[in-house]
Amino acid sequence: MRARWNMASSSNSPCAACKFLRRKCQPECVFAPYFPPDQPQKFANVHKVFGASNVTKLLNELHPHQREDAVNSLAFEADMRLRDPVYGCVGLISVLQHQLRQLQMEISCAKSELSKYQNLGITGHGLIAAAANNYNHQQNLGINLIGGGGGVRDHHHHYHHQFFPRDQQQMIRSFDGGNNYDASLLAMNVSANLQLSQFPQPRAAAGDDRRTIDPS
Amino acid sequence: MSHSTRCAACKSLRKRCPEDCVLAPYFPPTDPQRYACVHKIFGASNTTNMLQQLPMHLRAEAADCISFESRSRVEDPVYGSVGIITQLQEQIITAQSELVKTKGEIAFHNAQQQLQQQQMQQLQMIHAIAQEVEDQPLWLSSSQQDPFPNVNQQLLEDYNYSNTFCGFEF
Repeated sequence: MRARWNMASSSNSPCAACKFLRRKCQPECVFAPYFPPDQPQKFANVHKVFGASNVTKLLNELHPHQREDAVNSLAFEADMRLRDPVYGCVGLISVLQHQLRQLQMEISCAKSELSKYQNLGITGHGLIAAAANNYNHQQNLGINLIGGGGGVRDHHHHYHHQFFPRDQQQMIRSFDGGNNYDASLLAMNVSANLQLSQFPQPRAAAGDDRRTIDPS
Repeated sequence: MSHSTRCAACKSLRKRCPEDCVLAPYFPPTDPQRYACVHKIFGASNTTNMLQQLPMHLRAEAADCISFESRSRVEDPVYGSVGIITQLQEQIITAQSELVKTKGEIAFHNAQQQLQQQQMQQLQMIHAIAQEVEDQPLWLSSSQQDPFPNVNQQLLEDYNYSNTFCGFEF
């Protein structure tokens, strides 16, 4: 909506506000640009909740380019309050906050799960290729699959909470899974009881449960 | 009869605070700012009407919400509470896409892990077969197993003899 359009229309018919208030719609009517005559309910709601004089004061304190957004947000708030006389807009805010918290918890759980994969550091292609290329039927050695290279990455600090107030950040941190994955624990969980052929390359980092079978 | 101390609303309106003042329970004189915002945005009569229309047990909640909305509007005269709603919606959209992205990464790693396991199993199988072959020599050079129990033994002996004598030729 632009002021020019409404100035033209106000000379023809009163704006919704002046129609409602049963008064002559002056050319400089502060409501005219934002309450067109084809939307009578918009002003009726705003008037019922805020009152015409309060809206006038509010609009007069704003720059003209801000007034359209202000009127639309007032109309939205008024509509919400009339639909829900107890909670109004705040009800919707609560619902959205709850939804956001749920999502944050899910993200935290998902990141925790993801960090387990990343901490394993298993490059499957390299391992399989080595096993296939070095196959022979001489000796069997247990291979300990330990996450090398990547080590333990602290994903905890990679998650930015800049959009959330402090109390939400606190809550979110408490849900973040532990990222301090102990290397020996990892070795125990993942270590292979695989009986694969000997690897001519030096073995990976030692773990607690590496099995060695004497070739002879 | 009136309250011994006027509520914030009646104080602001400079009038006597009656015993049955609708606003008194929710706008104590100890927090004048709370009513000041409500008065500026909604006005005294609108606030009174809004609360009067509600049953008693809901008025406290309603007064708190009205107070919150008016404070939001004073702090942000253009968008008020709607600004908070817009911000929350944007945060939700961002969080949703982050969740989808993270779940996608998990699915990728899951698939990769399954593939690795399959390949490992295949290698194990190959190794096991090879080991079996090593442990159980070919029937041609073994005298202990009879892989062809139904074959005429004489024919078999003749065949073995000829291959042993002549060398293993094909």
